[in-house]
Amino acid sequence: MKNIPIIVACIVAALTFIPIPKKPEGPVASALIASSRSDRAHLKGVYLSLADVTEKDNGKLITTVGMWRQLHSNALKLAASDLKGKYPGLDVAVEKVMADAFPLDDVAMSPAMVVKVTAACREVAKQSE
Amino acid sequence: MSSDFVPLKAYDDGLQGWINDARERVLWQESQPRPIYSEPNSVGSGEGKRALLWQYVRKLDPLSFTEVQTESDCVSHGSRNARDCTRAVQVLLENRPESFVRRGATEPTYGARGHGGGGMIPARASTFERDVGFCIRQKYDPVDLSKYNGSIGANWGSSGVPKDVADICRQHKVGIIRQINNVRDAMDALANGYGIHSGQYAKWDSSPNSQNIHARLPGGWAHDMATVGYDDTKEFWPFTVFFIQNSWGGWNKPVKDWPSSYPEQVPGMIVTKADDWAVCVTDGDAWGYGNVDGFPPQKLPDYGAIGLLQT
Repeated sequence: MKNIPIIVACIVAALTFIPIPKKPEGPVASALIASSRSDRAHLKGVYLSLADVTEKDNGKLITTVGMWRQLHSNALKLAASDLKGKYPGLDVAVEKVMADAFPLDDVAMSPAMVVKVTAACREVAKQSE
Repeated sequence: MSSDFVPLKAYDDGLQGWINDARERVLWQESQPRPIYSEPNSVGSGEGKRALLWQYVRKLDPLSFTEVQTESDCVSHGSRNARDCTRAVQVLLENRPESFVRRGATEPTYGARGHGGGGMIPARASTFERDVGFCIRQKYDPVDLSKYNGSIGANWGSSGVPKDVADICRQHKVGIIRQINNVRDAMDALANGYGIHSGQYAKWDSSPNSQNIHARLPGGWAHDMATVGYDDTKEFWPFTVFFIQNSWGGWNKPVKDWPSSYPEQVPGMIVTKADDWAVCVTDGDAWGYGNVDGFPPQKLPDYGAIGLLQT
């Protein structure tokens, strides 16, 4: 019994070394503040898939940023229609993350551009955790 | 020209789309500091390789090469197709900060032919596109060029391209136009992203032969077409082949065997042996296009999410 305080102290000390998961920050995270876990997981999945497709294609089929924009729209229409209207400002928040990563110029999906677009998709996914 | 114009029949019957004029070629050469395609630093760079330039245009304009000429304006179709190959390479391979926007227009070039009859001297097309420029398929204030209308260029023939249209063309010029004199230089030019068009007196079979190519036939068409690729690897065909893009729509039968790794065969394409293609340079009117003034990147309205996550 007399060891209980020591054990508790050890547990508390050990817990201080376990990193507490940081809450994602950013416009998408803010827009999703009142969201359900399943909606966040859903959005995260959509953007991780978009990132994978963009990365694997590497500019072969999706040759320009304009074509990628079309893919993005179609992906949301097909895979995220149930989120539409649930979270005010989510669309603008996603656009903000994109705008921080690459400009709205309709140029070729060069290898450098693929990296930027992919990173933006993964950032949206990260903020959806 | 009548609406039931059938290009193959018209050219078989002697229609003159390409006008061969040695004097005009010499005048062109004299007006250029470097008239001939001769790049000492890249001599032989196309040997043993392939360049399939049409794929880049099709990626940016999936219906490219489908316009069917309705006038004797093949030179303007050939030069436009060469120009668009070069523009697409600039956007997709050179990663220039440009947008393809739309396919090029043919009408101003044909309108600059300098006479009211049919047909054109390629050197005049080159002079116009170098010194004045070109338009794309869109509606401009003075003229609607959004859809091919052969009669527009045909009607400008004797009076010339109207000044307000020429002023629009001036915004985009072809920076480099070089005459190509032999097959090796043509391969080098294509491998380095130059689209080519050529006028020649030659004709090709509409059906592929047992060698899986379209063979040249006796006689000829006075015709201009774009050369949009070649393959000197000999991995699929055991000889060098060139890919010519005609402006007659699906006028011929495609070759039966097509490499699976290739971009798709465009309707109307002629696949020909280098020996048969050589007529395109020996007739003296083959032109390689480089450094085309591109269009600044078009601004997209958004990244594609607006309205799709929000009511």
